[in-house]
Amino acid sequence: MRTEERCRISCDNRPVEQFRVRFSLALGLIAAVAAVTGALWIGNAQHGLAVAELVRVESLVDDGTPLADHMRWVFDLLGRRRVITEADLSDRFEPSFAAGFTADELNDVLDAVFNELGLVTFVRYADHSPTFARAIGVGEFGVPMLVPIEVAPDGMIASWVLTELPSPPRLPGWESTLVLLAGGLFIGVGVATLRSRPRRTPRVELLGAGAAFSTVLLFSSSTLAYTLGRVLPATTIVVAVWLLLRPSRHPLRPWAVGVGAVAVTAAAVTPLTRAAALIGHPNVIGSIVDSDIAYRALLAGSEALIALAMVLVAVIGAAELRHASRSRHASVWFGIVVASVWAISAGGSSLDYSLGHGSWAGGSLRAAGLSSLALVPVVVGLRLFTARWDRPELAGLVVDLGSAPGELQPAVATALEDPSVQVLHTLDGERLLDEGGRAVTEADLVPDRSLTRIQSGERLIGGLVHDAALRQDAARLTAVVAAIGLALDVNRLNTEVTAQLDEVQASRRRIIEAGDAARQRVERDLHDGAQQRLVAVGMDLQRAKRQAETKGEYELAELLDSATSDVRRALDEIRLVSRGFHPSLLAERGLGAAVEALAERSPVPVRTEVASAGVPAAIEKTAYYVVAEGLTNVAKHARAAEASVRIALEDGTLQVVVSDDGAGEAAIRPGSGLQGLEDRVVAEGGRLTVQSGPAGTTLTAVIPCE
Amino acid sequence: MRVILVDDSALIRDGLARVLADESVEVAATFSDAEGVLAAVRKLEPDVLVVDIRMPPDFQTEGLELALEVRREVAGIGILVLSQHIETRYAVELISEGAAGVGYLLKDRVTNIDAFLDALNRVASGGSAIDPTVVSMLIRRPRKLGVLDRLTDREREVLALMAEGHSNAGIADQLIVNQRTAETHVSNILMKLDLPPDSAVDRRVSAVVMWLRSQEA
Repeated sequence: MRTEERCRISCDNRPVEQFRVRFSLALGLIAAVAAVTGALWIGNAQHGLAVAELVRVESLVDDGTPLADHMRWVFDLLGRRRVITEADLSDRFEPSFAAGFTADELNDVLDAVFNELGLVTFVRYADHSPTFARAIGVGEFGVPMLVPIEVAPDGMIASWVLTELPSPPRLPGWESTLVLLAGGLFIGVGVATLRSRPRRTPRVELLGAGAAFSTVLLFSSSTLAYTLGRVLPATTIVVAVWLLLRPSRHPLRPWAVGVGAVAVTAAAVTPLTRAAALIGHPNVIGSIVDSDIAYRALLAGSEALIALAMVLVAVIGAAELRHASRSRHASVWFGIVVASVWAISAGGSSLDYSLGHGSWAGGSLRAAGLSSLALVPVVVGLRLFTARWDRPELAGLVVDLGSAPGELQPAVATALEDPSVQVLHTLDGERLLDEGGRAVTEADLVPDRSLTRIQSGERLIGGLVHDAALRQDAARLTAVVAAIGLALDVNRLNTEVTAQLDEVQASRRRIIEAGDAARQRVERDLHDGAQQRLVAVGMDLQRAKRQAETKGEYELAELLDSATSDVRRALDEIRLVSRGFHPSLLAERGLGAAVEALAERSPVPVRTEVASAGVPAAIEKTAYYVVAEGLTNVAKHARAAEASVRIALEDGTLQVVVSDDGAGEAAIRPGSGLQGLEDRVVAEGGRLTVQSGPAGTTLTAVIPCE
Repeated sequence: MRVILVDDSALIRDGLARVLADESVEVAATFSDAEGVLAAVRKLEPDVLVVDIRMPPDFQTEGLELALEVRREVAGIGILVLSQHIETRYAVELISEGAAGVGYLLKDRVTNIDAFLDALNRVASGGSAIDPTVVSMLIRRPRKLGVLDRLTDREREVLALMAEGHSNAGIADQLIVNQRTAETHVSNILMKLDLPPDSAVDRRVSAVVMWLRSQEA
């Protein structure tokens, strides 16, 4: 189990980072150059050896040894043959066979034959020996060929042995050079990635390099090595397909996985078809097919499979474009272009094999194919370089977190290029929980996973479960963790502030509701108690007064009458107070009637316009108080000729506007009625504004009704 | 005269019963809420039902609803609604189906026994009794057009008394003028306000109250 590291924000790791990038790239470049030089040196060494063997064959021919022995020796030496029988040639050169050949004639015939077979330049070499001739030309794969010819003692051609020398008489052909170059670049990129990308040990690059460099084996005199040299380079195609298929780390869609599997399989089959096509060459597999048509068919099929694989790679790349982040588009496009060029060239080669060799189209298309093979590691290297240099994933992460702070996982997965990354949260600052609320500790992780804790100061605020290899890219992990830490902190603060605001709002509402309830209780108590009792007292005083009158006690009657008047005044005063306490009309007849009643009592003419259908009772009440306070102020301070009340519901928001044409100087002042009113409006989530000037005062409340 | 009292306050019920007893008005029954009142009205056939506007269970306008229901169900009965607070709206609702035999008074009025009995008698005899507070609120209500400016001060006093439900004789009594003077004022007012001359007091109340309401700003 790994002990997790605490990642902290470090701001000055950039120079170190740049140095590491440069260092890795330099190292990779050196490795690539060294690999190619080494491969060419080995090739040339083998070349020297092969030329020496050739000279020995010539000397044997000159020393009078019987021809059959020479040939046996040659066959033993070469250990392989493809026999072109007499019948093969006699079909075409019937007249000459009957008469026998001179050495010159033989050479002419062979010249014609090799031209006919498409085996290129025929070099006349054995002027001094009528019984042995050699042809050296460039063979099908750019490998020079030696063609010993057996001639019977009577001068008749017994057979032609057509073989391929394991050794070039000169530097490797351009095709081999390209393959080796690709191998060198694979090595270079592999080395460069060794210290940089945490998730990618450069296995794939090294595999590709190994496969490419196996071309060198073609120069060996060992048949096993030669066979491998023929077959293994084809596996670079598999590696290339694999590399092109993973331009990004987003998990592929199911269909893309299927298509990718087909592509890799198609590419993987090509070494087998190459092996099957080893006819007539020194190998350990043997000649599975011995006809030229089957041979061509196999190679044509092999190229067709490569073309198919590359088309599929391009298709997946095109699909990927839609999901790839913008910063990756360039490299995805590169992959698509490489795959497309390769598909075209392989398709061309396939056609070339099917229709016959020698066309310029076949050669140039193959050259394009090999060039794009060499481009694959270049593209991978470029991607590596730009990704490390610009860190687009991190910029993307910050942008993503900013736009949707709740969507951490996808943004983090992109930034770390680890689709399986899990973002953990914590409720108590001690245990880390996954999305399902299960606690996660290091003990729960499978071997390749690693846990990183995210902290804000000393406080644990979250965690990441990610690929253990990311540990090696500490700079990236630190940066991502810092970004997530900020995002989580912002989220937390947001939540806290929102919760506190909600709390404040709720308590404000509770205070106002408690106040209202208290007023209502006082009003009810007055109504049930003092008011009724005063009325009863008033009635009794009146009865007493009448009785006093009947008894002629007029002074007492007067006193009692005056007491009754006091009682009535007391009732009036209580009524004035209690009516303001609780607008019963609002509950009984709605906002319109209640506002109307307020307008009726106003000393200033009031025009009313109330449309509040469907507004919740609490908000109606707030609106009522706005109108009541507004009209009270108009009456008290405004010296207005007229006033108006307008209540309207617009877009789910109740607008209450009380305006007058007086010369008010109204403002919301501490302790004023307007401030109490503002509290009430704000408690409902609304806003109260006062505009006051010489032309009048407008009191506006805007209250949202969900 | 026989009345039924409906009020949730025992103090008021008992006090009012005593006042009425002094004035030889028979209290046929008392209720603390609307329950069973209609049946009692049918059975006891009182001249007037006196009802508090706010009563259990909700202390809103149960009395008003009871009054309107009884008025619809029982022909010819007088109904006097008492309220701790005066709302012109309720007065208007109450006379919306005609002002005959209907009264709406502030509860405090019972402390002026003469005025209260006068109102009770008017209601009992098919007239109307609208609280002066309601009427003064209706008249006082500022009007942009100033239509009431066409009336003299005296005429405005007469208009208020008309709205309260007083007959011409009642108006003459209140203003201490002779009845003919009162009648002249009344016809002048009706003419100035463009209202039909109608001798029936209750229809006059409705007409005047509705006119006042309609002229509001």
